[in-house]
Amino acid sequence: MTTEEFNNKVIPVKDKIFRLARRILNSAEDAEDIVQEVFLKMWSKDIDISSLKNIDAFMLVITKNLCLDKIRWSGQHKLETNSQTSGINNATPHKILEIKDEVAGIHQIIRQLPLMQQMIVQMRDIEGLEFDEMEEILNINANAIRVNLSRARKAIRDQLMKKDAYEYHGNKVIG
Amino acid sequence: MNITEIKLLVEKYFEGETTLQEEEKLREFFSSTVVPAELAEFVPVFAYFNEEKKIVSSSVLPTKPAPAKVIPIARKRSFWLAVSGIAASIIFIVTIVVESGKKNPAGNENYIRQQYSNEEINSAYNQTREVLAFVSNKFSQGTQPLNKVSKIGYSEKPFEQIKKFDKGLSNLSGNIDKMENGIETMSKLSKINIIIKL
Repeated sequence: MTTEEFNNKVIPVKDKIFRLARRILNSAEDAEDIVQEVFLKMWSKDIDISSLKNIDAFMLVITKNLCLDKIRWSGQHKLETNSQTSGINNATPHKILEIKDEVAGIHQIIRQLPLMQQMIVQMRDIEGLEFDEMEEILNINANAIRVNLSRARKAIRDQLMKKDAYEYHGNKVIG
Repeated sequence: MNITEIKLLVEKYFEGETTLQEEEKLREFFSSTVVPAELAEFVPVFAYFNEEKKIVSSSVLPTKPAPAKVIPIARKRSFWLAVSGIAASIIFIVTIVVESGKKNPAGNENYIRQQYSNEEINSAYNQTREVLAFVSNKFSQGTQPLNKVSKIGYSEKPFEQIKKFDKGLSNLSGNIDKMENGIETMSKLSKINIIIKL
């Protein structure tokens, strides 16, 4: 593999790897470690980049496996909340604060989902991967992916509605 | 895109039936400002997805496999390999010295005398002798056919005659020299004869 090939095909996957690792490990620091590990593996001589059909999927498989190994060894997920919310346009400061809160809340809601559903939401709703790519990465069929995706999306919606109802109820009591 | 269409897409979305293109439409719709109140609850969901997509890794990646990094690791490894090798050989030598110190011949014999009765020792001795005698007998039987090999020496003798041939040759060349001398003196004599005739 040439340096050029590496720069054009492998380097661009870096952020996707980081985001998936961060989703699974719930730690930016650990995710950076995984990024380094994946790229070291990609440089090793027994991987022939030019023979791979889908480099992104190949690297995400490595990422997923390294992350799951890490979880197995360390026991549990770390609890770290992260709420970055910039770029919400055309809204009043009050509205931004409200949405910021809710966005952070969604992060927490997703964290409560089974790990498979978390990974599927990450790959589909955030990275925009096709089902056949996800089949390759997760090693389960498209139907199972759809079912899990549907459950995850509904769970997020239901949790949000619950939250809204609670907040509405709380306001009413105070008022 | 009208609201009924969006609502249909939202329904499909929650069943996991939407395509990436349709999901892109939903994303666009929910990040716009025209979301009606009945669908407003999904705005933060898509806002969250958009935000998550913007997160980037701050890792600095090696653009080439770094040999500088590999070498110190290899050195470290070989250093510890050497140290462990030396340690293992020291332990090995010390063990041999200590163990061989324990097994002095006298101690060994005493141990045998304690363990076994005289009869047992004698019968073992006799058996050993018998076995050794049997082996030596068979061995001498086995060496007898090898005597024939010494006959190879006899065949050398006829070749000694060839040496005599050499001697004869040197004698011959000596005689030829003498003959030449004789011829020379004879030719001188013939000259004298001619002079006398004159």
